[in-house]
Amino acid sequence: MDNLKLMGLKSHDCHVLMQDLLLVPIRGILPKNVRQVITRLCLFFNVICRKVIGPTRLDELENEAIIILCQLEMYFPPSFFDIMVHLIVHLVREIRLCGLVFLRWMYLIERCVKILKGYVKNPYRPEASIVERYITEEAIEFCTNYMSEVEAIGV
Amino acid sequence: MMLSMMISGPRQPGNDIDVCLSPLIEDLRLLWDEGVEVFDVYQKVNFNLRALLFCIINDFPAYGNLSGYSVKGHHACPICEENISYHQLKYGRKTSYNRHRRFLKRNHPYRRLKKAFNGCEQDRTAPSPLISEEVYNRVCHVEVTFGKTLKNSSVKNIWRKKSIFFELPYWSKLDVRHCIDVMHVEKNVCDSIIGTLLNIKGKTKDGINARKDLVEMGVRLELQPQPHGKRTYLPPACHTLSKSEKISFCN
Repeated sequence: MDNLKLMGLKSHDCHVLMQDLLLVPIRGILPKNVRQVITRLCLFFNVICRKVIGPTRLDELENEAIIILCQLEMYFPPSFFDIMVHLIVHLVREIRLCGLVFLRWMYLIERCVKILKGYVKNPYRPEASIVERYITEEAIEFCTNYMSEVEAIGV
Repeated sequence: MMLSMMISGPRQPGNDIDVCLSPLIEDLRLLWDEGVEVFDVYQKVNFNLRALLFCIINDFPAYGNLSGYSVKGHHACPICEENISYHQLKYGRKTSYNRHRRFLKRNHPYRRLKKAFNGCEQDRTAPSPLISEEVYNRVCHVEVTFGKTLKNSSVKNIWRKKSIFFELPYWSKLDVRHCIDVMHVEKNVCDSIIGTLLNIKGKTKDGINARKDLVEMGVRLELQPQPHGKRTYLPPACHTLSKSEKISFCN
């Protein structure tokens, strides 16, 4: 932040930034049209990550995504449009066919994988050290069930 | 149900991941064809459990490995396939997938604007996504050999292999086999927006080459680079922030 850079963001940081935070700093510093596009993009991501989306709204959302992309084309340079930006068009189709986004995303699993990675003590045998610590932890939690007045703090 | 699998090795399996997945496919076939006997604790009876692989979710490079579609190059989008419109940038040396106006409705006013977009009207209609059986017809003839082979690029095909998932009897009937990971898309879009806004070196999509491309395409000529002696001056675009604006952004 000190040298006016925002680097090394993880995917969940980007998620929060996109959903809530990015709307705030661009207020008042960008021209109105550019600000509106970015705000609409943020709101679009916000809507498709909601827990409830009415099926009648999906058509509206699909059009919204296309219009946002067209407006981005007006303001941003052509090299901005790599394949990832193109994929926004197809997101709503997948919601229609596969169900809501929050049922399919991987934040939970990635977090779990992070914990499992931390279990690795011997890098030559990663699987074995994960198993060893996992079993120990399960055993300890199981034992604490037998002790009254003790609550697991979760190691 | 969560199933974890670890493929160990010094480097990623890449296109050969099918070999490592074959035990999984074997189990999934068993679950679909015959089913397994499972005990229900609530009703205290045994029943036959069958399961179906609904869709798989992965990030975009892995999408290419698992589905056998090459997600690089000009036809990178596996949903539009050959109908995607791309534009090779001469100076930026990238492919840009613009022209999203074709997805708009027929009579949308944006279709008729010239100057704001790439200098021409857009009258093409949106590409229809591939139907399930079409994909199967395309991949069923592709032959592959896994492992290290001598590269012979005699036939260039955007489908690199027939994915091992097609051994499941229902796989060719499904409409969406692979989901696009919203998480991954969101991250990349966010990265490029922030990189472009804050003009972070190496992350920004704007620069002298991008401006040269704009000149080449013949749009937004007010942004073209102007040589001033030894230096080149890039006029500020509408998304450029000045230093004081950047400071207020970061605060």
